[in-house]
Amino acid sequence: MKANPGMDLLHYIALVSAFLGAAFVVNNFLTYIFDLPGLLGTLAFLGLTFLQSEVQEYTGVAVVLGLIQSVSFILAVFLPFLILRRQSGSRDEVFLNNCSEIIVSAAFWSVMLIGIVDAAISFVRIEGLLPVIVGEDLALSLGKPVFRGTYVHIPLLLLGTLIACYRRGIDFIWLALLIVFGELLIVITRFIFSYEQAFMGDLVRFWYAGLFLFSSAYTLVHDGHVRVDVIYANFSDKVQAYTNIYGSFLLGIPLCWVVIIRGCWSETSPFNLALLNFEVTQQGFGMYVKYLMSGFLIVFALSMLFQFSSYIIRYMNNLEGIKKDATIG
Amino acid sequence: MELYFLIVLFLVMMTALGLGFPVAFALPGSAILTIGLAAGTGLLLFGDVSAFFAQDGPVEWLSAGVMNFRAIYYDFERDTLIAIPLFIFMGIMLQRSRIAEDLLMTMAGLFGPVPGGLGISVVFVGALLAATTGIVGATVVAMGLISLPSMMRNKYSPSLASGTICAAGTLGQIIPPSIVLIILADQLGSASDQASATRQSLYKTATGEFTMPSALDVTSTSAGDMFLGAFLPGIVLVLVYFVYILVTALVRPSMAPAVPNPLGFTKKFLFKVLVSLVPPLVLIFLVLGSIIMGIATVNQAGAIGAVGATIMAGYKLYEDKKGALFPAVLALISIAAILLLINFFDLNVKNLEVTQNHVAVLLGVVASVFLVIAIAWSTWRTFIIDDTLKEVMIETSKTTSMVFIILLGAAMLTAAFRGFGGEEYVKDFLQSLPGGFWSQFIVVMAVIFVLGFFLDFIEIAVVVVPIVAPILLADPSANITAVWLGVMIGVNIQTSFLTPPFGFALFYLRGVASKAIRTIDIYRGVVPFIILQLIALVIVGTFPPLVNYLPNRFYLSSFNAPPPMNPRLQACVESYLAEVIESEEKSIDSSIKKLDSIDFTILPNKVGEKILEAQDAAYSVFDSLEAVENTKKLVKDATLAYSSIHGEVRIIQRDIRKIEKNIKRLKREVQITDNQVTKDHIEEEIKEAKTRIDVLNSLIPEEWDKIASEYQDKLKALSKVERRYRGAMDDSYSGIKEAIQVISSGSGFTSFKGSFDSLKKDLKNFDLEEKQEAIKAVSKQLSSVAGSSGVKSLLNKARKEFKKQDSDKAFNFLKDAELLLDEEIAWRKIATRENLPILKSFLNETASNIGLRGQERLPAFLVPRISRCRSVHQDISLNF
Repeated sequence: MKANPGMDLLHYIALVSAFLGAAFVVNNFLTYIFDLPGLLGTLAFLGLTFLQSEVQEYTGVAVVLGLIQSVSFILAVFLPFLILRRQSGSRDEVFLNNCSEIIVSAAFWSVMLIGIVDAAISFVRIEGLLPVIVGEDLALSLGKPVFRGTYVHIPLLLLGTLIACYRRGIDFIWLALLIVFGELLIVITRFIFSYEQAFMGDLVRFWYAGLFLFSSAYTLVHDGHVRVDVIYANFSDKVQAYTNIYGSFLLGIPLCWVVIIRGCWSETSPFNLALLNFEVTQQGFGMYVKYLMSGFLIVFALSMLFQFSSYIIRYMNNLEGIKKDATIG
Repeated sequence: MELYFLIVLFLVMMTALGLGFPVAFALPGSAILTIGLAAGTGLLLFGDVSAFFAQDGPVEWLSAGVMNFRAIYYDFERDTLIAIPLFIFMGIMLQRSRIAEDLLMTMAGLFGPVPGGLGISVVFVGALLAATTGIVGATVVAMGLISLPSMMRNKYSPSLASGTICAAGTLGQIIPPSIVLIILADQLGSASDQASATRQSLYKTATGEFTMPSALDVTSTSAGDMFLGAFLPGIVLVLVYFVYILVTALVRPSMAPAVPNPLGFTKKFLFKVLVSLVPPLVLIFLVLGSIIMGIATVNQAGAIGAVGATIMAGYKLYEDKKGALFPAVLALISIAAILLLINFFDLNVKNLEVTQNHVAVLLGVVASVFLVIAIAWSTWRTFIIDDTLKEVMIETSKTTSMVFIILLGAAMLTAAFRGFGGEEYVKDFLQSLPGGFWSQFIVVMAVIFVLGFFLDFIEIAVVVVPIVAPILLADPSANITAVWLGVMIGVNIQTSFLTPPFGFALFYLRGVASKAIRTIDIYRGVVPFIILQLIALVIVGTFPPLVNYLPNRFYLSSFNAPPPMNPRLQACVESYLAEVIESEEKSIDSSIKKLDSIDFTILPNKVGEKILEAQDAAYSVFDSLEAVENTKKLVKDATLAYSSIHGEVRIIQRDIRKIEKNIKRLKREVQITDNQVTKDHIEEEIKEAKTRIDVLNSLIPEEWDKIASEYQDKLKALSKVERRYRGAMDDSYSGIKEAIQVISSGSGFTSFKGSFDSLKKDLKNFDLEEKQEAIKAVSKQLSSVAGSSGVKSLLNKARKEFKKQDSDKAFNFLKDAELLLDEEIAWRKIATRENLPILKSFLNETASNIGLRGQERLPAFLVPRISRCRSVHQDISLNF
């Protein structure tokens, strides 16, 4: 099959976009949690200070790790080259789609587990039973957002990611049922036993935000995002494919990038601020998961970035399939 | 300059939408693209990325957009939106388990023999379905697939059949619990906050005062309010449709022939009616009823609906199998047990220590466990049979995501729109229209109508409402409520969806209807419904109480209703009071006179004086009311002169403010630029602007200042006499109330006497320290006894003497306290017998007139009247 340079370029950009997004997000957390230089810090260290004005002092280990971080960005740019060369003409949409599914699945399992565990802790804590069960010291620590985040949420997050490696797919749809049951819990305890606590509302909100943000990628693939299809429906397959390819490029991918970059550019960007400081609600005895809800948008942006890239490649395949049909016919 | 990019934004958005890229990404994508273009152009032409923004720069606006994304779910303020997935779950569960279809078939069987009965059933079920999914396309398609073939089979005219389906599918949009109403409520809520801020600043510039009276504030809305507000118009529309179909069937039977019931009205059919008709209706009424009665929040009602639908699906899917009804029956029994328990016991677990209802609570827990088992059982059934649960969850996830990502996308679009100063342009444009509020309103409605050809309800609600609603809501001359605006927009869009050749509903029906139905049939079929819709629009537009009454009514009779004294109710409460005090003057007067028969000799001076003061205040109510009425007349006379030039002057002043703002901006620009030519140019512009201000100032009539200050003086005089009038009523009622409290605290004194006696005995055995403590402990008892300050202060003195180690003096004080205590008990005994009934009857007799303001709650008989009064939109522009 003949190579198509224009399409290849788009293919390349789609891949780079997805990889860079992943590299950016992963490095973002590494940089701020472990106080590493990151790409910009490393560049500044090497004397390229055009993007970062102040040069920080780093230890030797940090500099090495910073170099590795920088390499990951370089890889994100060069790996797609190799992929394109190796595939030479055929385009693989499945890999990117799988990445998106794993991201969403990991987010779902984490959110489900953290929701249940944190709600249980909050409940026990309000009723004053926490010291009885885990002892005074641990109870006191569990009342601190940083401790609960580090020793309860993060292990669960890792567990969720582990489960996701074995179970990518559409488990996230269970959030729909979970929010029904979560709200039902409120109904039962409130109307029968006049018992209502902040953590119950927090739990439902936590899951509902997850539901619509995590299912966006799946909805895109299955054409669930509504279109104004007055004209679209009358387009030929070819024009529809072009619409989706260029639409994803010009409208979809920039959106994901804006979310990631505006949310995580620096330590004081809104999502980083919430995540790194384990932000919680001001309502006293609620759940301690508010900061994670900032992360939902990162999950949304990243999963959509991969999904859009996959989507673009899918419609390129369609286009090329149509052309092939035409030449054969 | 920003205007260029506003146009670019609009064009990019229209192209993206028109080409059919998913709306959820077309909206934010075109916003980001345009912001990027503007930043790039600015950098290229002026070396400044912010050059093309009204204020701030591209980075700030993108950040604002991203923050808006998070704000949709980040805080509990917008929790009502959670109801959306719940209602979607309910609707899809009803659809997937074919309960909805069954409902339609049974209703058709039941009403079929009536002329037009099948059509009426379609309207009913369609409205129900559309309400829960909120997407016009989905409903019309579903209804088209289910009911169009059966209508055609039964020889309905194609035009009537297709018209009915389209109308029913769009009707559901404004029938609660429609999810678009929830979204509208959410958007209108933040719009009214903005409008309120606008009014506040308007008030400040007009009067110079910093706080605006809350009576002048914008009436906001909630999802519950929206449901209530849309309820009457929705019902009216449904009934009008019914009547239309019925009349058509009677006048031209060939268009809507009666359909004989295929099963016949046998026992079996009646059972089927019972099983397939009653449960969905009960569920809908349960969901709506609990919201409307204020028992449950919208979210909780949504959960009830979703679970109820699951239970119904649990037996529907098992149809004709053994034990199909078992979980449902178990659920019903548990619910009945719970209701019984709640009725007879206080199951509040927090009060368990007090109530000691351990057994009842335990039974409640058992019943709840059985309820949960029943629910889990039903859910299990939906899970294993035909993958129903999975399908429902998938559809719910997809639909929810679709709705919310649009909401998200629109947040970015709104940010970009603001960034390019679009709000100011829209505002200026609307305010430049001649004819005041109503012409603005009609233009907005027309724009929405046209947009309805291209965009679905949700998109319009999230894109257009945030832009225009704050402007319309802030206008004090119409002072419309947010609920009314929402319902008007709803009915308007609904009409738009029906209108050929672009109407949304028509496209969808065309897509699923067989070729036997010509497009022209569909067009012809919807025309009568459009006319009915337009009539409804005019009716709702001219009679706002149709929308506002129910929300007011339920608000005023709810648990957290404001007391009659609440300033927001004052206008209505006082119009009632003025009427009643005037018409019942004699009987009120005699009620006051009855206080003369009180025997003051038995009362302590202080109490007697209080009663006399209260009586005087009560008498003065009549005079002060008259003063209020007279001053009101004066204000009204002054209003004529004032209002004739007020509007005109305010417009001139608004223009002046705008120019002044512009001058400020220009002055800033002068400071930044180094280029002498541009500097001169800008200076020139400033000079021009200043002359324009002078011209505008000269347009203000000379007598304006005089008239305005006279008017303000009269208003001030009015509020002065009003304060006196209210004070008189409050003083009289609360004075007597306090007197009653003091007199009837006898039992408190007697019980205190017991503690006091034992204290006296104990004191001898205590040391000084303990004595002080003991007295302190005893006097605490008096804190809840009215009129006990005398005794208390004597006890206190005694305690202080003990502290000073002067026991003699202390015991003297204690003796005095005992004497006083006996005295207090003695006079109260007589007064309770002689005076208390008189005072109490005074309170009773005046409770609904001069004592009304003193009530904690608005009396039930007044609720309808006050609700009616509050439901009318009042022109309050002269206050601004």
